[in-house]
Amino acid sequence: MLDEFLQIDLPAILVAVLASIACALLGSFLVLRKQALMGDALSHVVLPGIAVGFLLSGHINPLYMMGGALAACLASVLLINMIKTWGKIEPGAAMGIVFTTMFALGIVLLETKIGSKVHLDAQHALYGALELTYWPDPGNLSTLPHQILTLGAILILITIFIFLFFKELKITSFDPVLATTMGFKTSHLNAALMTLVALTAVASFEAAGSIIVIAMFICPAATARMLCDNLKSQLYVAAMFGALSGLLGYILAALMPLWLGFEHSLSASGMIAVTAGFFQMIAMLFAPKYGALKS
Amino acid sequence: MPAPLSVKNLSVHYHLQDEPALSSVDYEATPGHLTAIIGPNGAGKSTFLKAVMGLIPYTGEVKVFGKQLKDQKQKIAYMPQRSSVDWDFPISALDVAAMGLYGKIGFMRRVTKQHKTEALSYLDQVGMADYADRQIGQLSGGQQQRVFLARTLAQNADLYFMDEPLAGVDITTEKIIISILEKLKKDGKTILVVHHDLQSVGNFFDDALLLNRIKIVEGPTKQVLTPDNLAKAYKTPVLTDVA
Repeated sequence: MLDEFLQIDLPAILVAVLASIACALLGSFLVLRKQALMGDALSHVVLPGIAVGFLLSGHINPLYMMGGALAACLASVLLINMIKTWGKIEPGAAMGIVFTTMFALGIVLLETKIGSKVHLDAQHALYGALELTYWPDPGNLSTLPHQILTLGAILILITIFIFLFFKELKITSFDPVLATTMGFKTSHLNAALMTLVALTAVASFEAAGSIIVIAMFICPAATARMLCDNLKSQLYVAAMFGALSGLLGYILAALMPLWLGFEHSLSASGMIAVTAGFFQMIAMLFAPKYGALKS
Repeated sequence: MPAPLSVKNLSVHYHLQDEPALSSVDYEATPGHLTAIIGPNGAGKSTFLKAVMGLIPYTGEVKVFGKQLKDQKQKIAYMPQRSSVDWDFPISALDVAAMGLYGKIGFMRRVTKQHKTEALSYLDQVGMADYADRQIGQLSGGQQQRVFLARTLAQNADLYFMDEPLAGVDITTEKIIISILEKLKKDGKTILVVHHDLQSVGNFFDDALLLNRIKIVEGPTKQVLTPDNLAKAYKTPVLTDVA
């Protein structure tokens, strides 16, 4: 029983919690910059890049997948600009075209023969494979699933980035125009932020599926927005709700049904996203200062 | 000493618009003067400010104290329109005022206690020290404008650009803003203010720059605000009239 928990449940919970915290931290900036859908968009756009990286390397190789994902992001930026200029349509529509097309291309690539031979398919991409994260020899760190290492590294990178550039992130999120007049390189910082968003989307996506990525970039940050009056607490509270959603969602989906005597567990990724959305609803309604139903 | 702001043949043409927003504007700011930028809606007043601060693409030449703007960023301060930011942002009045110091603090350096004390002194100058810890959305419009002014003061520049600082503020705030403008002037600062209320221009401003997609006229306020000039800017189709 304990072995099973350590081999299957613990790594899955770690992956879910790490991915959720990483997404919640970056998501706070996305929400405050009114770019919340960028997380959603980027997590769609990266799919063909992941697929190509996967096809080239023949197995799940984080470096190939990250490289492919970043290439896909760059290609999307170029495509959006092209469609905006030549197609004579508004930026929102251009983004919509590129994101959906890229995602569809990714699905098609994953469904090709090479894709179906190995264990990465469209369903895996959407719902993730939290339940498949497996630690064969608990306690032996060298057998720790690579998803945990990758997400841990990304979370450390994000934390360092926010720590070093806290002031810059604050001013460019609140008043990018003033930041520009002061000589801060607003576009460079934005590019760095988007790169981290893309990296996080890829890593979380591979481990936990796009549904978690989309939910976690927005829900914990939006929950914290209802509760916080300053940027530091916004980040802590968002990270906390991210972690809590990951933990609680997994327990509700994977463990609870078994405790209650059901034979099948539920989709952990789906339940984690639902939990995050539930927290947001509660905060929106009952937050002490900003809730809709505050007394 | 070179002029605080010297503009030659400045034109701005927004993407996908038929007419340029500004054409061939020549302008030179008088050091130590308080200047109003006036003109009807859509005359290009804010566009003028944004162009000279390098926020939008333009053609022509802009010099700040005789040099390119990029070498003079520490010498300018900008107070944007209040509506340009999200007042629900999780940030306190003190944090906003402290942002005025970011340019001097420098890249990747942290905001220290001393910086916060300094920022508090600027909040105090605009009568907002008691609200330092308040989230900015919890302040009235006039109070928000004063927090913006404190941030602009914190920039401690030589040339100030302000976009409609007096728009829609209460009497207390208006008095405070005007006394601050006068104090800045006394300290030898040059201030350009986009202003919408023609009636009050004569009361506070030394000079005026009258725009309507081109420069109609600039000079001492009294000479600018003649019926003839105002008719040119506000009534007749200006471009055909002047060309």
